Amino acid sequence: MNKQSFVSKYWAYIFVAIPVLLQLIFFFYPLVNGVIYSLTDWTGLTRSFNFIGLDNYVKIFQDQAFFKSLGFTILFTIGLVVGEIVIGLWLASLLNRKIKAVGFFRTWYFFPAVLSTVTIGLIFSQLFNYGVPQIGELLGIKWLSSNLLFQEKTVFWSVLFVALWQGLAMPVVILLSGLQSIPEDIKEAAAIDGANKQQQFFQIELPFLLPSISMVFILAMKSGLTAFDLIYSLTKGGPDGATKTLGLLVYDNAFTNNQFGYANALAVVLFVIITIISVVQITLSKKYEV
Amino acid sequence: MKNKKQNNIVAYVVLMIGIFLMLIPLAVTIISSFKTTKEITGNFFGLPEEWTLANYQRLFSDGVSHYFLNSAFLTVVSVGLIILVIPMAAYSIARHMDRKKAFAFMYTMLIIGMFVPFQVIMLPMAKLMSNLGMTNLVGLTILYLTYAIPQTLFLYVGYIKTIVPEEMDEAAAIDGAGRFTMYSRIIFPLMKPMHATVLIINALWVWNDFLMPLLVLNRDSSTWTMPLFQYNYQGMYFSDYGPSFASYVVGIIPILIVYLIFQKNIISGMTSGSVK
Repeated sequence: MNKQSFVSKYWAYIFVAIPVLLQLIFFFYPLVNGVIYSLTDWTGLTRSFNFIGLDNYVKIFQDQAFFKSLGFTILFTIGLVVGEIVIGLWLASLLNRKIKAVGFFRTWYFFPAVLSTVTIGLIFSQLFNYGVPQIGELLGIKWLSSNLLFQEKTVFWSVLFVALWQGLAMPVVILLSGLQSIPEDIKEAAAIDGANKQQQFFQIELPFLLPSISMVFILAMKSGLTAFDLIYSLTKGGPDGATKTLGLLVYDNAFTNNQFGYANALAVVLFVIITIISVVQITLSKKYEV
Repeated sequence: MKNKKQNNIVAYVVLMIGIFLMLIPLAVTIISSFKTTKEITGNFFGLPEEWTLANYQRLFSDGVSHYFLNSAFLTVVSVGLIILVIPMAAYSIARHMDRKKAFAFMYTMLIIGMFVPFQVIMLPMAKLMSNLGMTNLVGLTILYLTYAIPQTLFLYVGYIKTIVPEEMDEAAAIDGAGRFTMYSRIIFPLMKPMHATVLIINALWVWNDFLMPLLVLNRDSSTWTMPLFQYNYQGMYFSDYGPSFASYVVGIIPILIVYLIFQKNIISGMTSGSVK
């Protein structure tokens, strides 16, 4: 009886106790610790470390590797966002036609989304190592005959291609459902009124598509700015750091260079960058939504 | 009218090229897994002269089934815990957050993780896990439960607020049932569609995840998950890549089977779950 009344009185708190506890221990505690570590010279290997104030942050802005990584991460993210929206819209509009076997296409276009990114990275690393050079030799194209991932000029597009290979799956489905939300009679009315294809797209379809596009934008941006698995399994950041994302830079500094304090400072900077971009994105999309 | 038909032919051609680009890497992977390494490096896109199971024999003698079971254990237990713990909390929060500030605060606190990239906490988290002696599969299930909370709770709270209104509680309370009985007998079953979405999103995430096992498990190879094993396996035999291809196939096949059976649920679950 006593037990029963205790539960009925405090059930609301009992129900949330485990998640709150877990978040405090495994999320907020590391979050705070990360900021503290970022103010130290800890290697991550020893027991002791010294507080060095903001030295790590000063060091970041003198670090060539950081700017190289930031540049690649931003370009890669732009490539992903543009690719996912433009190619995604194109494929979605093709799938939206009254053609046969749409189900078949939809099934297979979505399939990469359920695969492990690391497995995909490993498969493509083999393809770039053995497969693509064989095509290059067959066609007698010199730059295609050696591994595209080892050449600074081609590695960006190769990595972006693989990222889009998997990354397009979700946008196509999201944008397709956006296209299907446009009422048929509005489109017909516009066509009867003599609106041309361009007018139809920009003035009739685009406003309906904006929520889906904004969703794809956020998804692509997040996956670009925090990319790790694909790069780690495809190039490990090479050649010569040309494809090192910020996420990989954090990892490498912590575990390869044993600069744990510095790596945490980088993580904090990554967090600030992502927060700024998100705030800008949310304000902009609010402005245009109405 | 003729124009439209021509347009459709163009659409088919483009879509077929897309399918081709998509399926070629997967087909090559499957075919390569039945080739000798010599044949893989010699003629990458060709069919094998003789289909061999040697790669699979070596893969299994290297203990792939162990890593497969690790991943299966991790996925089943993590998703089980997620569905046991999170909807309960979501139910309590959804019922109180509009009236009690403490619950509104807790809600914000629990979902704020959606806006924090994993890289920000991963290093201190890895240190914490090794200090706690939890660098094993059990420790990892607790991490998956923790990091599933923000998105999963967000989805459940939204669902409860629209689909499971408070009148349900009142109707159930008349029968004199205690809170817990009421939750488990009435509220929990009402959330079935959301359970399906949550199960899909989280099971795929746990099964495919790489970074967290890399951070937490990399030292002890007996605890490796499939993606971690695949990654380390590729470097194991230097230029002898036949068994690696077999390891990709073993990782992909279960996903393919599950996908083909539940594809409608998976597509809608993953896209609705991506609304953050």
